[in-house]
Amino acid sequence: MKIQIEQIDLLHPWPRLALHDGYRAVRILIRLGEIPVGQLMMRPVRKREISHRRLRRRIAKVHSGALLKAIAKQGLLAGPDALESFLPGAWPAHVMGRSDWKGTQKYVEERILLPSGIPSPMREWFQTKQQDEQSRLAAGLAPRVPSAPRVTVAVCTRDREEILEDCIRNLQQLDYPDFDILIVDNSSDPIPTREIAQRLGVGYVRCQVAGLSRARNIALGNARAEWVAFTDDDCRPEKSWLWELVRPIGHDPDCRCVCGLVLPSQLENAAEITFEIYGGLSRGYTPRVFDRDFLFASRLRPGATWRIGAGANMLLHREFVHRHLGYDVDMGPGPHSVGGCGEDTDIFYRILAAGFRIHYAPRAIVHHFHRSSARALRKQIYSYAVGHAAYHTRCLLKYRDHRSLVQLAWHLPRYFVQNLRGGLSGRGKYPFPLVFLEMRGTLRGPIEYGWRKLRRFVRERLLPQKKATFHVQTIKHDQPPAPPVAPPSKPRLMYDAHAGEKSQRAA
Amino acid sequence: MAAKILQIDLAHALPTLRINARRYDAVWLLVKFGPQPLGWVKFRTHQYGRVLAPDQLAQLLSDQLHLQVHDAARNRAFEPLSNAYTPMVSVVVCTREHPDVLERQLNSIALLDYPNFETIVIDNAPKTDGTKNVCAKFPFVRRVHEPRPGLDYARNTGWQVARGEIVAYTDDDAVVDPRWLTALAANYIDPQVACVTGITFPLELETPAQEYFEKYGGMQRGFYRRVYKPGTWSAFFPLGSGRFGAGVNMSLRRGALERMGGFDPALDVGSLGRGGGDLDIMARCLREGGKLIYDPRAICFHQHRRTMRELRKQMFDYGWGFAAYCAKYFEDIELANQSAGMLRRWSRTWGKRRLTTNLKLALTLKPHFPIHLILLEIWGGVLGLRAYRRSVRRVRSESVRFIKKGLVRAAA
Repeated sequence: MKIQIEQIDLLHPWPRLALHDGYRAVRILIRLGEIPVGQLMMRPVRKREISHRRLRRRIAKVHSGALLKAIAKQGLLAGPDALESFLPGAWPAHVMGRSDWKGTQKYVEERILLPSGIPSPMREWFQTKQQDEQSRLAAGLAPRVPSAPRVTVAVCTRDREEILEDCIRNLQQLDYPDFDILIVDNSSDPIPTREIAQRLGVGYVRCQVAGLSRARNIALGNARAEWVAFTDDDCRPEKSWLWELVRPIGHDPDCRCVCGLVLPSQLENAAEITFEIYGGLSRGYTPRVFDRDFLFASRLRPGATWRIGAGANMLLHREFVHRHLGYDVDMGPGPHSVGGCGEDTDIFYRILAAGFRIHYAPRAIVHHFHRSSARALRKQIYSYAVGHAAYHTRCLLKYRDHRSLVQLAWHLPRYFVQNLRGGLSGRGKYPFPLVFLEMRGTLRGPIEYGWRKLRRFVRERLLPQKKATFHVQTIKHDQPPAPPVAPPSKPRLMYDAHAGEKSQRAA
Repeated sequence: MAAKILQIDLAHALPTLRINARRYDAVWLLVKFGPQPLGWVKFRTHQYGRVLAPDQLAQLLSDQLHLQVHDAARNRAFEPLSNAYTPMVSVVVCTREHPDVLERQLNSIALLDYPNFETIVIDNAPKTDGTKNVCAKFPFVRRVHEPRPGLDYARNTGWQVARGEIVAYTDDDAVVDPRWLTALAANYIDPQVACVTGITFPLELETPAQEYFEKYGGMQRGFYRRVYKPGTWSAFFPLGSGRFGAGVNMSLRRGALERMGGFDPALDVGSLGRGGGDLDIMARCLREGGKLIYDPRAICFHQHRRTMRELRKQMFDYGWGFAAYCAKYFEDIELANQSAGMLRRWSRTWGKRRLTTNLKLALTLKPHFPIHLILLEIWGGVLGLRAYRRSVRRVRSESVRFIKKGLVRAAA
């Protein structure tokens, strides 16, 4: 089964939507200019073409709320005069939303969702705003966001030269004025990646020891900018990606991390589709602010840091991570660490617990190629489960967060049972054969975490220390790298951005 | 625990909000669009830092109030209130020994933008000269002395001495919006309308007691205008009349009051009934064949009780007063065949909304309304059931005494 991916921009006349050969369904991203409103899965049964009438009805049914929210926000920003003339009137004066949800849907379907684009005063307003921004950008004039700091885009890669080049070329197309690209090479063979970096003229850093956390630490240590945007080699950001990522920073001085929306760039086989159903990497289409209260909202449930965002589309404050000793190199994917996605959630936890805020900005869109083989998918989901359980173990042991124990002992098993029951009875959509994999991973996680930490303790505290050499290799820097932040008074062993000695020894 | 109350008007450009995060841990943002209040946007202060930029404010508003914004914009609710119909209105403030808050209220009345009104302060059984002195500062105020203690005696005196066609009642511990009377009076253009009530917001949320009271329901009855037509009275009589409004923001046509014989002195503060007089008059208005309109554009702000002690007393009195008011209609033959069903339905909804929800929240360790206050209200209701008869007897014996003392005016 293959699913076609399409986009509809409500500002422009809708295109004709027909299924290509070999596809059985279509997944449509609905957007209002740069604002993603939501996605829609449609499966035409008899004809290969999706009529605009049917599409309108479906969009109105599923996305009325999101669409009205997006329009209301733009109307409010446009000011009272615009708001008065903004909305298409002439509709029986029912009260929307209170009891008449059907009427609201009908209103959206007939007055807002026109196949020629949204109705007139609104569309003109949106279009002039877009043109305004583009012309300002072309003239190199004042930024359209409150602050446009310098950003380093870090791409951590491992043995995937063939897609890396494409990724870097795509990144070079970004319309942000002040950014540089840094490849962190985690490969077994440094030569091809270094060649790519030289050919394309981007920064290159070699990370000797395999492991995403180590690579990220090295990226943070070698970044020339204060803000580091992370993306993966299998990601294709949109052109305005960095603009949208830095937008919350200007509003909020306490923001230390911004996450964005990760969408699938293709759904060509069962593995990719299953990963999307499993949850995927997207975290919804509504902007949100996460703060300390999100983390400590309940006394019985841990704050759901895994719902905040994904490491494939993330902007981090270098200084914060330095202060907090970097990523835990025992977490995250890699042969020498636990595996899965626990390292990102751990950073989120630390940011929130320190009283800072994380913004989720769905307008910063990255298109991601999921794992395309069933074997890789199973491995990934297993390692996600391991990483998740390891993250909770870490919260329990290191941060003394008793709620993580509740999550491990009660909520996760309950969730597995729910998914199993849903799958076996045919009611749930969750791919239940994966549940067994997740259960195994969850059992494995705490053991793995304990083993890694024990090993590290024995090697670093009990065995004699070896002499280390500096092994970070940097080329193509026309400016010297930013001076490293002074290390904390009591150096811990976890962080090794500049201390090549540890990576050397572990190798 | 304190919350800051701010107001914004969407008819002007979005402001940059600055919040004193040290003092307040939450912000309640009252959103208006011209004269129409749209709703609350509530957020914790440290969720957004000291300064809330217009961009974030627009995000918050569109998240929580997008349907209201669309509705107001499409129905052109932002247009200013019409000044086409301006009958003479008598604003009646009943007070008893609260000179400081009364002064605040009279200051706000001085700012009303209505062209044609008079202000009457009913000085109820005064012991000191405080009220008199405050009223002397305001030349437009007519002070009327009412020696019989009791809120409903004072209210009755109010409409009896009023010169206006419409009598608007408010409390001394409230503050009115400048557009309050304009919004109230515009509804009386329909001659069938006998009673118009408005929305009452909290004036401040400085203490837990005030926040609890507001979370319990407060005095707001929704942000949509409602018209209750005369034929529908039996659906709200007597149990459901709480939704019509509250005595702090209520206006009646003087003709209707004359027809009904005014307020029942056996109810409300000062009598054994302890409350329920406003519910009684609103429900009776509808029953006697007048229209009742709840219009949220008529805005008034009320200062709730500050201490928990006062709040406990108030909750007990609410239960007591409501029970006394219901007890008045025990023997009403018109209600006989529907009262059992209504009681069942009402107790289900009330019990679910108040008791069950809060018990569940308490058991899951979530923030909830104090259970003991709910139980206190129920207990007050149980004890208050027998209060009405005693109150009537007390009023009768008192009236003899009042007449002997010569305290009753000739018109009454």
